[in-house]
Amino acid sequence: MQLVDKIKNTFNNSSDLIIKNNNNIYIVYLESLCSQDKINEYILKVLTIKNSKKLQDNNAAPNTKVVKSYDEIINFILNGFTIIIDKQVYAVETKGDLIRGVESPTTEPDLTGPKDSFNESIQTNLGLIKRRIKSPLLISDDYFIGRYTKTKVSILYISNIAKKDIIDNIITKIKNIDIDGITDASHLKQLISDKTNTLFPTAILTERPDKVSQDLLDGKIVILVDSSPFAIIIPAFFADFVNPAVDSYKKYTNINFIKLIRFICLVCTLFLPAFYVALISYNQASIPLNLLINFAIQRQSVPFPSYIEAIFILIICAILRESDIRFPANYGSSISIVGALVMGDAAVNAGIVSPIMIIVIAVTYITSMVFTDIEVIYSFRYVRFLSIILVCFLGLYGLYMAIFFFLIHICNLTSAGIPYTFPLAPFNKPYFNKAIFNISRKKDKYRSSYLTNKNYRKQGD
Amino acid sequence: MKKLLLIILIILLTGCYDYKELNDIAIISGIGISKENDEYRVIYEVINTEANKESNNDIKKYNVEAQDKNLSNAISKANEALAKQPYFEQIKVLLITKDVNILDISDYIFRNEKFNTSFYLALCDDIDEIFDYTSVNEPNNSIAINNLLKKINYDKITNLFDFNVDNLMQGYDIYLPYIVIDKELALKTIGIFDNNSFKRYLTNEEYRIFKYLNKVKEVPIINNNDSIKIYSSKLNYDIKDSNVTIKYDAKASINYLTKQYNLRNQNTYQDLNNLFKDTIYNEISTFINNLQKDNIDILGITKLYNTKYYKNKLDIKDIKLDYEINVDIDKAGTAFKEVK
Repeated sequence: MQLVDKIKNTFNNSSDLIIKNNNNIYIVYLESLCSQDKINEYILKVLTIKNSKKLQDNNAAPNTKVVKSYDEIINFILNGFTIIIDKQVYAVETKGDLIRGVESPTTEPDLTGPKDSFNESIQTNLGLIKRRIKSPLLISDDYFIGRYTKTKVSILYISNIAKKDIIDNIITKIKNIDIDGITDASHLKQLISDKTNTLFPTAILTERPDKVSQDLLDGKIVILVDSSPFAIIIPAFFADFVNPAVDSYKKYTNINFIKLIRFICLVCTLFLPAFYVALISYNQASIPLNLLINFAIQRQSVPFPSYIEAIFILIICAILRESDIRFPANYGSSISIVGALVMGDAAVNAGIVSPIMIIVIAVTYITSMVFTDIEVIYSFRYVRFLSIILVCFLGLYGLYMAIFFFLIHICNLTSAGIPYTFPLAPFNKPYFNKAIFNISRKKDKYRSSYLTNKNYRKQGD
Repeated sequence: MKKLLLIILIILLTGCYDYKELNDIAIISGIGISKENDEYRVIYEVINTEANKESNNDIKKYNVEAQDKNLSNAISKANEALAKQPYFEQIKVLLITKDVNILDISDYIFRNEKFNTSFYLALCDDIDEIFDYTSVNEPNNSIAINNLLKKINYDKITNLFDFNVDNLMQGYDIYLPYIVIDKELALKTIGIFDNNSFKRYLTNEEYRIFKYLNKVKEVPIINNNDSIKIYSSKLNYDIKDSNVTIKYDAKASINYLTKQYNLRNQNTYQDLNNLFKDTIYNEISTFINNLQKDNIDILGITKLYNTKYYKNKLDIKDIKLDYEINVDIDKAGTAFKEVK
C-alpha cells in the first residue's frame, strides 16, 4: 500500500515504527510512544469484528479522529496516536503513560498552600490550572514549535482581563521562532525574552499551578510547554523574584515583616562581600575601632589581600553549590555540610582565610537562599563578583559604582514591554500591594492597570 | 568594545590610590605631643594586632616615640620607627601637655589628609605615664580615655579637636579635660586655654559647678549637709540692652535631708526650692565672677554677645551679667496624700 510505504520511508524504517496488517486494514504506531494495552483494547478488539466502518462507533477510545492529510498522519503518529488505514484514515489516541503523577513542588516548597505541582504532560498541567479557574474565558491557544520536536505550546490567558497588546506581543514572538526544537520551557523562555544580553530573567518559571492561577487572575500570560514541568509566566518583574506568590497565603501583617527581611537579604547577598572588602582594604576609618582591632587580629595570619580571599571563598562556595545541585541525592546529602564546615574550618586553621571572611560569605550565601529562582541566584552571583572587582580598585566608591551599574541595568530591562522595575518605577499601587508589601486581602480590590485595561476590579462591585 | 576598554582603563589608571590592606597598617589609637627642651616629642599608642585577643599575657599595644624641633619631622621620625604604614584615621585622643601650642600642631594635622580630626583633645602632665599605664578594664589607654570622655555629656562635641581649634582661631577660650592616673585613668578637672596659651585648671568646686551647668547628671548641690541631685537642666542666655541674663532651670531630686522636713506639706517643697535656688545662685554667680576676674569665658557668653553686638565687642570681664535661677525639686511621694 502506497501510504504505508510512504510512512515507512518518512520514518526511515525506524525500529519502533510498528505496522500491522489485518485483512488489508493497516494499523501504524510508534511502539515507544503508545500503550500496547490501549491498542489492544481500543483497536485490535474492534478490528476482529472485521468491520472498520463501525470503528468510530464501536471503539472505546476517548479520542478518535478522521485524518485528512499526510502531514496530520505524521503528526498524530509522533504524538502517540495509532493510525488505522482502511478506506478512510483514523487516528486513535493510544498514548502510553510516559509521565509521572502529580507530585509536591520541589523547587518552590512552602508550608501552606496547595501541594500539587506540574508534571511533564501539558494536558495534566492544563487540567491543574482549569481545575482552579473554571471559566470559559480562560483561553488556551496552541502552537507547535520546532522543526523536529514539534513541541506543543499553549498560551493561556483570561480573555476579559489580559491586555491584548501583551498577548499579541507574546504570540508574535512565538510565531517568529524558527528552531530545530525546544525540549523544555526554559528554552522557550530564553527565546521570547525582550533582551538577550541580560543577567536577570524576565519571565518566571514555576511549577506551582496555584501561582499560575493567581497570575492569570492578575492579567498575566502563562505559557505551557509539553514535556516540561514548568510554566512560563510573562510579564515578570524584579520584585516578583524577590517575593514569592505563596506570601498571599499568610496574614499580611506577618508576611510584610518577612518581605522587609527579604529586601535586606537582597542587599546583603549582592553587596555584603564587596562592602566588607571595601572597609577592610580602603575605608578602615568607617569601622568602629574595637571591631577593627578584632578584624586586624583575625586577619594577621592571612597572607592574601582581602579581595583575593573573598573571590577564593566565593568560587569555592559556587563550586559547592554546583556540586550540591549535580550530585545525586542518593549518594549522600552531606556534601554541602562537609564543604561548609570542614573546608571552612580547615581554611581558617591553615591561614588561607580569616574567620570573619567565612562569616561574611556564609551570610551572603544564606541570604541568597531566600530566593528560589535559580536564575536570579546566578545573576546575583555576577553582580557580587562585579562589585568585588570594582571595590578592589576603588573601595567604597567602587561599591557605589556597582550599585549604580546594577540599578541602571535593571532599569534598562523590560518584560513584555513593561519596565522590569515595575511596580516601583513606574509606581503602581495595586501591584505594589501584591509584590512588595501586601495589604489586607479585603482591601486588595484592584488589578494593576499595566496588566489589564478592561477589568480593573477583582473584588466587590 | 570601546566602552569596555574605557572602563577598564579608568579603573586601572585611577584605582588603588588609597588602597591599604588591613595587615599592612599600624593602627594608631592615640597620639601624645609634648614639648621638651624646645623640641616636640611625639608618642604614638599603636595597637598590637599580633596579640592573641584571649591571652592576658600578650601585649595589646605598644608605644613609638620620636623627638625633633619641628612637629612634622618628629611625626616623620615616629612613622619611620613603625614597621608598618601608620594609620591615623582611628585616632581617639590627642594628649598634649600644657606648654604645647595648639594652633601650631593643628596646622600640621589639618593639612595632613591622613588625619581624621574628630578625636578628643585632652591635657595631661606626663604623657608617658598615661600611655605606659595598663588599665584592668581596657588595655588600650586611648580607647579608655575616649570612653571616659564620651560618657560625660559636655564632652560629646565641644571637646573634639576641630571644634576647639575653630574656637581658638576665632579668639575664644577653650577648655580641655585634664587626665590623670588616680588608681585608674580619671578625668580630674578641666584646663582652660585663653588666647592659645594655658591659663589655669578649674578647682574641684568650680569643676562641680561647671559640670551641672553643662548638664552633667547626678551632680550634688549641698546646703548645710542637705543635698539634692540635678537630673535635668537647661542653661540659656538672654542678651538684651547690653546685658546678659544667665537663665538656669533645673529639675532635681532630694538626695539627703538632715532636718526633719514635712514632705507631705506642699509648702515644704516651696521652701526647699527657694533654699537651693539661693545656693545655686550663689555658686553660679561666684563661679562666673571669678572667671570674669581672670577674663576667662568657658561658657561661650562672649561669643554670643559679640555676635549680637558685633560693632561693640567686649571681653567677658566687661559684660554685665544677671542671673535667673529656677529650681524645681521633685515632689515624689506626695501621691499618698490623696489616698484615703
